[in-house]
Amino acid sequence: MAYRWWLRIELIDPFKKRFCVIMKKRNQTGQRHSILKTRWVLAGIGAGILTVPASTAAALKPEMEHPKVIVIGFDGMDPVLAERMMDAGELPALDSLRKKNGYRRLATSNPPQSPVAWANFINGAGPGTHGIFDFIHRDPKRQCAPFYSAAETVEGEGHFDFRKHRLQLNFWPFNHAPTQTLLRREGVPFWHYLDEAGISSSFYDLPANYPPSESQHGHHCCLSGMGAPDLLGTYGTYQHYAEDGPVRTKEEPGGQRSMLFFENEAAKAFLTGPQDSFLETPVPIKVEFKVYRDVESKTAVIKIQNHTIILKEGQWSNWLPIDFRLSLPAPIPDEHIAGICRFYLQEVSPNFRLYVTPINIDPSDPAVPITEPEEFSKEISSKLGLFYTTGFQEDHKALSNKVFKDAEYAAQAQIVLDERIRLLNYSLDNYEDGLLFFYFSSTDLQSHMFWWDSELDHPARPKDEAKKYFEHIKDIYRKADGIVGDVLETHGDSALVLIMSDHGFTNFKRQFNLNTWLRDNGYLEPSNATSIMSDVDWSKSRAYGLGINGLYLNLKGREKFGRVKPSEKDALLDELVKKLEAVRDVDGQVVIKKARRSDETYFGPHTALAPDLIIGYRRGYRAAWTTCLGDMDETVFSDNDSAWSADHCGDSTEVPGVLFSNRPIVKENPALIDLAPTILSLYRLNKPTSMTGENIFNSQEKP
Amino acid sequence: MIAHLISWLNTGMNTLFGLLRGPMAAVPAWLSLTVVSSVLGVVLLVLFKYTSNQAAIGRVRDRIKARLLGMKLFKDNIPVVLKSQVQVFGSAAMLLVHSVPPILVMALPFCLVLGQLGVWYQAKPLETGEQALITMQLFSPENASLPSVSLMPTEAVKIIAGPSRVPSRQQVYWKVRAIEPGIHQLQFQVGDLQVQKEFSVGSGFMPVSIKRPSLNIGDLILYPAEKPFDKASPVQSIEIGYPDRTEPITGSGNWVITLFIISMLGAFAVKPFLNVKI
Repeated sequence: MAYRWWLRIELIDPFKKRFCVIMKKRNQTGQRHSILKTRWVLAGIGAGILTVPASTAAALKPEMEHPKVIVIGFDGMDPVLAERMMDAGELPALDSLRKKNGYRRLATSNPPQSPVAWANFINGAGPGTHGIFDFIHRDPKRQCAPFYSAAETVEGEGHFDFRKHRLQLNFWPFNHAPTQTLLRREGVPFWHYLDEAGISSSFYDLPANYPPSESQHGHHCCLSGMGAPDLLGTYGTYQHYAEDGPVRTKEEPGGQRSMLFFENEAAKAFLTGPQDSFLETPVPIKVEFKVYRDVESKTAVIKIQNHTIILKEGQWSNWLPIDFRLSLPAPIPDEHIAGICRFYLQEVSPNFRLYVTPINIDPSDPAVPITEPEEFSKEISSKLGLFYTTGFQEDHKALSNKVFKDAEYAAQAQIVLDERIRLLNYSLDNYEDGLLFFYFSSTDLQSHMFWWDSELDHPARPKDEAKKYFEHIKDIYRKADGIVGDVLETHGDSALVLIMSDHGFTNFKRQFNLNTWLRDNGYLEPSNATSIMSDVDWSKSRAYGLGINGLYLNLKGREKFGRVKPSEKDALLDELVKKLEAVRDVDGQVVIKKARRSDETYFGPHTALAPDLIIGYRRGYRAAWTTCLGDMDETVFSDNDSAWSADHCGDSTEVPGVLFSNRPIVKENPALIDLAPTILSLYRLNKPTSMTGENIFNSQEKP
Repeated sequence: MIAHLISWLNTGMNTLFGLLRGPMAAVPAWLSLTVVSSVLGVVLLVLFKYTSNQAAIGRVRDRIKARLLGMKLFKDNIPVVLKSQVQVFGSAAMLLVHSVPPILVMALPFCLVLGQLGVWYQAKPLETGEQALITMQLFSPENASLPSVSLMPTEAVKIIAGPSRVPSRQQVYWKVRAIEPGIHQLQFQVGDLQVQKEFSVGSGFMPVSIKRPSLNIGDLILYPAEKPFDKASPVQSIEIGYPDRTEPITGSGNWVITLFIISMLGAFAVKPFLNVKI
């Protein structure tokens, strides 16, 4: 994803016809926000006018008190572990809710992947309404070209070349279309109905909501969560510098490595920033920094821009604002965008190692909006200082790539958790009424790396260490319980408190390569194919796997090189379901609990990109890493030897989430899709026809 | 020579401003800045009156008025207007020339006062628990290794990291956390030498000496609160990275600009009563 900046001429004096050429970093959200601000101004004017239409008046009375509803989302909190810990008395706050009939397992989405699950929560209905079926979708017009399902960057059209620069001019007669990032989640989010009714709602770190969705009436604010990018336009790219690093900067999934060469204990390095997108051939903006190390005291001094920091081995710096200069043709002054990062000194000698967090969007001066309204992030930052703004804050890639050791990852994740607890306290301090939603990722991204609830060998670490780190997960649950206890203590009497997770967790011991299986069973040709992206003969292939749970038919009229006739579709799907559910591991274990046909699972107006089958793995199994992007391995099964040793992308019935409430839950088998209609009913709002969920309390009951 | 003179003057100014320390600390920062700026404006106006040639300035101003009147009366006569304009510019330049002696006289005391005010309004003390960077600039002959340096243990601070030596820049760094509120003296051992640096901790309004400087004219004016290091001293300066203080009246911008604006307003307000021609 690239951010586009462009020139704009604005009429600054309409009487003298004076024009000003200015740079803009505007996008759709920016435009919307100016509308929003205008609306607020109008609201202020409206307050002084007695004859306001009833509907407008209803929308313009934020002072009216509404019931308080607080929803805390712990991503991936698992009911099996939570119940076990509650039974052992280790989660007193959550257990107190359970004892008051305020606990149920919460049915998750199908498939149980976070973007799908949270979109279910947001729409109060299944994927057929929001159009998100997996982390990864494919474009059938380009056969199987993959893209991220929740947001899409649409390249701009048109430009104006000037010397070495390429400018987009969004005014007549050029009317160039800027590059935009669009939220692909379809349907109406439930807060829209609250917004419309003049009920305030605040969402912190809400997943599947980047770019932040607009507020039509000014009663909704949110900070984007999972899906929000870093300043490089990725989901988080750390930078690692070491004496034994590669001479030429080397990219790896989620990061890049460079070598540091010390001369007189001083070294020079460059921090890679966003692309200088005004250039004809964009190149990354580099910011030089110097490192001076003192081997004796095991410290290093880092000088970057106007910052000087000193770190001891094992210490983290505070957030540092970094200025990145975008060059423009003279005489137009260069533009600047702000990023923030933290340095972590891992080792001084014998092998100097320095980690730099992904360059986050500066919340005090965001290069692109990460909140709705745009000023919301500045407001938070003015009170709390700088904080992580990328969607994935725990740097699991650094652990997977062995940049971090286990303990270092745990320490970094703790920084994230501490930061988020401060943010939660801020949100509670500024909460008056309406809906407050707060999301914690710690229970998910740490579980992925440290969960191991088994006596079997862990894929990547010795048994005792696996046990130790599973204890760490239990500690996180205890901290989560502490957070819930604090919220109940301060707001339990005045607010309805819901604690929920989008799915549970399970070990990820064995990998199943769906594409290899399809190849070995003659659905993908030729028999020596290695990837659906490169060497598959589509004229002979009938099905392929993409994403974590998706299986697609190579359907004629839909896929670019489709081969399966629509009339053959049903029989082929039935055949695949039968064969897949019969798959056994080498030790005879069942691998796939259920392969579901999407035409029997998804209902709604946005099913066009749905896979044809959703593969629901049993606990302990998951799609192989390689198959997610279409690659095939030599064998169908393999051990998962990644640090990412636990997952939830199996069958939806295998990994339900949790739901706690400080009010008895009436519905026996609540699901994620029930929460939105429940919240609406608490505000006496009717359930929209698009929602399929039901009130988990009692629809007749009033708050 | 000049550096020694400024250092000596700073000693006097420190004594003078030391007397104001109590009243300044007792009132809010915005109030003290307003009062100090206003008084400064009046004092500078009086100084201007007695160090400038008021009679000559009066004559030049009359001349400007006459030329402006000429331009108004003969606005259709282009040669007269152009000539008058040139004469107005010339007179304005003369006004500047007449301002030079008072500016020269006032420059040094004004800078010294500005330095003293900077001790109050430039930075804020560290809050308890807050961290700061300490930078010690050393001076040692080329190729000589840095002397052993340490920050002596004190209840005022906790060392988080350091000393971190950077021989190529002849610098030593520490990161410290403020522990005990008050104005402390940090003790540093540099080889056989012991040196001190003032260290302010607290949440109230108190003077903050950012840097103990060397005998450098610029630094002496900017950082007057502490005795400078000798030129031959192995330590050339010790600086503490205090956070900037928010401008106390408007909440944004630089306090020096506020001081200029308020002192000008103060001066203009009393100008008619003191009969000063500017």
